[in-house]
Amino acid sequence: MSEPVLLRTLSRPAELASLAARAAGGGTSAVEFEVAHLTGEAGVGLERPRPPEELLHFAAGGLRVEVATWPATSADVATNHELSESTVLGGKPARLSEPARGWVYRGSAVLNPGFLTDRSRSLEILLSLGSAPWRPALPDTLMLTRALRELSHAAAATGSPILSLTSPAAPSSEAVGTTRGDGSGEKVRSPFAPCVRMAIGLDAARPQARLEFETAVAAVATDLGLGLRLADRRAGRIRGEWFAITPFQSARYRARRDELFAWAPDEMPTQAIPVTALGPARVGSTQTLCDWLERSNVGCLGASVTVLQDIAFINLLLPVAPARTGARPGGGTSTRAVDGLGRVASRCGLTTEQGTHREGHAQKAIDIRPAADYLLLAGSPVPCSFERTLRSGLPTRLPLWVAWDMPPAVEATDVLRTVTEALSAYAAVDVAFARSRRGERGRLLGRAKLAVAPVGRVSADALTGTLGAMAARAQDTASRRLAARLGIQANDVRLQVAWRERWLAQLGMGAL
Amino acid sequence: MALAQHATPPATRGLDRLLDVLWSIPAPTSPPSMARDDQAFGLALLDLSLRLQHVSRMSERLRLVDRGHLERSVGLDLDLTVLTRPQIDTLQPRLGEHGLAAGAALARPFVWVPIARHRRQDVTPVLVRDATGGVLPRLTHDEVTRRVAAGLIRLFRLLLATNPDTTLSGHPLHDLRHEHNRSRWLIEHAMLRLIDDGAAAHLRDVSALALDSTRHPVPRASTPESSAARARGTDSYSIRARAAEGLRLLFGEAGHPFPQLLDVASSEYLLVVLVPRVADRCFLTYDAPLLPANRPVRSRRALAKNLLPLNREFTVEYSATVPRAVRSYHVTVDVPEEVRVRRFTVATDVDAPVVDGLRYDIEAVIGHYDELEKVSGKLVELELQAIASRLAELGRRRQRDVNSYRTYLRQSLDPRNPPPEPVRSPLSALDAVERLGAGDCSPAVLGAFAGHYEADAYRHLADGPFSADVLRGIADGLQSAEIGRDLTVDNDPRENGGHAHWRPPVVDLASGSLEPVRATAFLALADESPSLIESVSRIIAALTLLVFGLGALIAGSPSWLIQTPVDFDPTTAFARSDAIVAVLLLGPGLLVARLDIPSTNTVLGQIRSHQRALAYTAVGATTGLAMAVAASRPGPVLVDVARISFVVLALLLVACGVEFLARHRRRRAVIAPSATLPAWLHIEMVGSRERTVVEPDARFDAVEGV
Repeated sequence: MSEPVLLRTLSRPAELASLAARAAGGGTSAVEFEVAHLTGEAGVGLERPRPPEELLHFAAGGLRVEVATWPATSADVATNHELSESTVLGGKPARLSEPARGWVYRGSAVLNPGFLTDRSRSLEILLSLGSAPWRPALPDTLMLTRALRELSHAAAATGSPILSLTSPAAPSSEAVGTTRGDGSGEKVRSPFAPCVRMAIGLDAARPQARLEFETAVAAVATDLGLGLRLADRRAGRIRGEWFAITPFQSARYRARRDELFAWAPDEMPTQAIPVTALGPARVGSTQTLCDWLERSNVGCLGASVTVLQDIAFINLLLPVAPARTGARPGGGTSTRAVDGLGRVASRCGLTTEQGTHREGHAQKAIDIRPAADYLLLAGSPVPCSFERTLRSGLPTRLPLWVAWDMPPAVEATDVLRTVTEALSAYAAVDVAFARSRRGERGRLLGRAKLAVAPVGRVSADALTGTLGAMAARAQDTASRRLAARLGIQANDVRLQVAWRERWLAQLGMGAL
Repeated sequence: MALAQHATPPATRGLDRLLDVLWSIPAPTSPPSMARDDQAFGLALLDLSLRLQHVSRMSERLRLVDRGHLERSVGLDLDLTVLTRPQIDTLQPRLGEHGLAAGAALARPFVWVPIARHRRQDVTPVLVRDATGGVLPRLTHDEVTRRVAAGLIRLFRLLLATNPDTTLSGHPLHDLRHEHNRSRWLIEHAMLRLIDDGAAAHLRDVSALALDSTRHPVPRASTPESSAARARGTDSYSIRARAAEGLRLLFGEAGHPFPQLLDVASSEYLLVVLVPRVADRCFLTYDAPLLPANRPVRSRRALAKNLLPLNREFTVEYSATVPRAVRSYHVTVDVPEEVRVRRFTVATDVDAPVVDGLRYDIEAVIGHYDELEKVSGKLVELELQAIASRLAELGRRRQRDVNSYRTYLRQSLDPRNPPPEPVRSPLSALDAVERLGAGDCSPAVLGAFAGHYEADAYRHLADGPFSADVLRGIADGLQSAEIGRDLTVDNDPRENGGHAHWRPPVVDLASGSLEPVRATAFLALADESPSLIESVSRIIAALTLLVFGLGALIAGSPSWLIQTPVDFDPTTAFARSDAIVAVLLLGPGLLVARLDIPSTNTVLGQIRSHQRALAYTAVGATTGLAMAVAASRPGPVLVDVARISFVVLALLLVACGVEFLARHRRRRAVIAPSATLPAWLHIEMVGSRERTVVEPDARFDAVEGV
C-alpha cells in the first residue's frame, strides 16, 4: 500500500545524492581510518596529527577501542582502490607503547552508496540481560552472543540497517520512592550492565518492517527471559526515554542459559581479544559476523557497531577460551574477514576444546556475502577486568552523560579532556563510550557516557544529589575552560553534562 | 485504503527512459570523458538542489499581468553557513571562470550554489541580482547538465563497485564491473545522453522506426562477421542486453532512489549562481519565468452564471513548491488599484508526511494487531500511544488554523455584520473517539481528542477505545478531511494587495522528511465600492428617469406608462423629434463615456464584464428608442416603443439590485468554493462534508520537481 507515496517522495533520492556528494567531495570516494585496540591507562583519546572527521571511543572489560575516520584527500588512496578489487585496504598493524598499550591499524575503505540511512528516523531498543554490573561467566558471554545474533537477524530480516549497537550499556532502572516522571526517581545504575542498546534505521513508508522487528525482538526477549524496552515514540519524547515491553526474568534467563550452554565452563574469562571488522556499511554484515560467532561457540564480552562516514565498524571483545589462555599471544593481525575468522575462532571458540561440539551449529551454512569484502583486525589477547558491586548493592562506578555541539575548530578529544579534567576534582573518571561527528556547518556534535567513581564515601541517599551537583559544576567549569583554551566565544560552547540521559534534551546527535 | 496513484512513478520512469536510450544510441568503444572535479561538483549540486537547506527564507511577489499571465519575482535569503567545508571546496569556480579577482583577501571568496529547480520547458533567461542590484554570474544549462551527468555517472560506478554481488565470479554484475567494459560504458553514455537531451521519446521512435532491431539478436547465419561477433559477445545486441540486465539488477528494485535522481536530473534545470562569501547571509532576487495560466475548461453552467447578476469574482489559484528547509515563506500579491482582494489564503501540505506516516502506521498496526498482542500487549500500547500523540498534535495545529481563519473573517467583513459565532459542542473523551472512529476528523473533534489526551483520558488504549475499526475510521477520516494541509491567511492591510506569511511547525512530526512543501494560494478578486456596478446602476436609474420624463412630457401625463391619455396627439407630441433623438443619444452617451470600462483581456475587464453588459444594454435601450423616434412616423406606436425601453431599463435596474445583493452575499460567505482550501475548513465552517468546488478563472502552476 505504501509504494505510490513512497515513490513520490524525494527523501531517498536526496539522501542518496547527499551520501554520494559526501563520498565524492574530497575528490575520492574513500575514507581513511585508524582503529586502535588499547589496554593500560585509560585516556580520552590518542593524539593524532590531524583531527578526525568522526570518532568512536568504546570501553568494556578493561579494553578500549578507538576508531577515527577522515575523508581521503590523497589521490594515491583513490588510485589504490581503483587498481584493487578490494573495497577495504589496510596496512600492517603497528604496536603502541606506553602509556596506552595495544595495536593500531590504518587503512582506507570505499563507502557504499546503497546504504541509505536517515539519522532522524530510527528505532532504539534496550535489551537487558540484567541490571547489575557485567561480571559474566562464559555461559553468559554465549548468551550475549545469542542475543546479538537474534537482534541482528531481526534487523536483517526486515531489511533494517543497524545504525548503532553497544554492549555493555547502562540499564533503564525502575523508579523507586517517588515517580515524578522526569527520571529523577529512578535508581542509580551501572554504566556497564549486561544490556544491548541498538538503533536501527527506519523507512517511514514501511512501518510493517518496524513492527516485524519489534515483534521478533519481543519474542526473543520473552524466550530468553530478557528485559526489553523500546524508545518512547510518543510525540515530544526524546532519546533516553524508554517504554517497557518485557521485564527481565532472572529465573527464566538462568534456565535458558543452562539449557543452551550448560556445557560451557562456568568461570569468568581472564583474557579477551579485541576484534574489529570493517567495510562498506551494508544490511546483514553484523548478522554474518554474529552467525559466525555463534557457530563457533564464541562468547562476547562487549560489542560496538557503528557507522562512521558510511563505513561500518563492528567491534567485538571476545573472551579467550580457558584452554587457550596460556598460548603465545602473538601480534595484531589485519586480514580478510573470511581468512581471519577461523584464526580467531581457534583461540576463542569453546567448542573443540570442551568436547561439546554441536553438530547443528557446525554444519550451518553462513551467507558470507554481506561481509565478504570486510577487513578483520584482531588484536592479541589481553587480561580483562570487570565491574564490582558494593556491599550496599550500588555499582562502584556510575554513569554521567555528556552532549556537545561545538564550533568547527573544536575536536572531540578537547571536549572529553576538558570535561574529565573538570570532573577529576570530584571523582575518578573514565570514558565508557563516546561518539562524535561533524554536523551541519561543520559543527562538532557528540555524545559520551562517562563512568565516574565519586571520591570518598557517599551514602546511598545522597548519591543522586552528589551526582547532580558534580554534573552541574563540571558543565560550568568545562564550558568556561573550553572557551578560554580554544579562544572561542562562550555562548558558542554548547555543552551539557547530566546524570540522566534524557536531561540532555535535544543537544547532540539524533542517533549514535 | 486508497492512496494517491501516480501515472508513472519516477523510479520506473527514470529507469525506463534510460533503457530506451540504451537500446538506441551507438555502443561505445571508449568511456565517456569526464573531469574528476566535474563529478564531485555535479553531485554536490544535486545534493544541495534537492534539499536547498541553504535557503532560509523565500519571498514571492506575484503580479497579474493580465488575466492569463503571472509575473513572479522571487527573493531568497541564503544562509551560507549551512554549507560544509567540503561543499564549499567542491563548488569553487575554476581558474579564470567568470573572471575571479586573483589574490582575494578571503579564502574561497565565491561559491556556486543552486537556488532553484525549474522544469526544462520553462527555461528562459533569468537575471539573478544581489542586494545591491548587481547581476550574479550563472552557470549555463550546458555546464550544469554536463557536471550533473558526470556526478551521476560517478555514483553509478560507486553503486556498482560496492554491490556485494560484484564479488561473486560469474555474476552478471561482477562481469559488468570487471570484464564487459563496453556494456558499462554504454550505460554511462546513455546516462549522459538522457541528461543532456532531457527526453528519450525521440530515441524510442528511432528504435521503433527501425523495427526495434537493436533489441533482437542478429540471426546466426546472417553474415560470418556477425556470427563471430555474437559468439564473442561483442555484437550490438549482446552489449546492450548485458547493460540492460545490469541496470535491472542494480536499480530494478521498486523505489530505488538512483532512477529517481536520474529523472530529476533529466527533467529539471538547476539555477546555479556564483555567490560571494563576504557575509554568511546574503539576499538574492530574480524574476522567474512568466507563468501562463492554465485555464480550466468551463462548463455551460459556469458560463451561464457569468451572464447572471451574481457579482462576478475573478479567482486565481497559484501553486509553488517550498523547500522543507525554508523557515519562512512569504507570498505577496499585487493587483491593479481598481481591483480589491476579497480573499487571499495559502494552504500547504506541510503535514502530509505526518498524515501519510500515521496512515501507514495505522494500517500496519491493524495488520499486526493480533500478532503484537500475542507477543506483548505493551507493544500494541506503545504503537497506539504513538499514533494518539501525533493525532493530538495535529488536532492542536488545525484548531490554531481554524481560529486564525475566523479572526481573518471577522477582520475582513463589515464589523456591523460579523460572521456567525461558531457553535461549540464539547465532546466527552469517549464521544471524541467515537466520532473519530466514524471518520469525523474535523478540527473540532481532533481538538477535543487532543484536550482529553493531554488530560490523561487515554492512558490505556490497547483493549480500550482504539479498536481496529476505530483506527480504520481515523485513517479514512484523516485523508478525507485533508488534515495534512494547513492554512495561512492574508495579513496585508492594503485593499489591492495580499500577503501571507507561512512558517513550518516548530515540532517536526514529519521525522526528517525532505519532501518539498507544496503551497497553494487562493485569490478572489472583486470590484468593491466604489465599484462600477454603483456607477452603472446610477446611470441606468438616470436613463430610466430620462425615458420616463420624456414620456410624461410628450404624453402630457405621468400615467403614460399604463395608459395613453385620450387627448394624446402624436403629430404634436413628436413635432420636435430631432430634439428628442438628440437627448436620447447624447445623455446616455455622455454618461457612459464617463464610466471606466476596461479592456476585456484585463482582470478588471473580466470582473466588470457583467456591469459592462448592463451599461451597454441600457445605452442600447435608449438608442433603440431614439432610432424609433427618428425613423418612424409620429404615432401611438412610438409610445409603445418608449414603454419597452422603460421596461428594459427597469429590468436592468432590478439586475443591478440583484448584483448588490449577490455582492453582499459573497462578501459574507464564510468559505470560498475552492479546492485549494482544505476539506477540514469546509467541515468546520459549513458543518457539512458535501462541498461545491468551482473551477478558478486562472490557475498558475509553478510547481518544481517531479
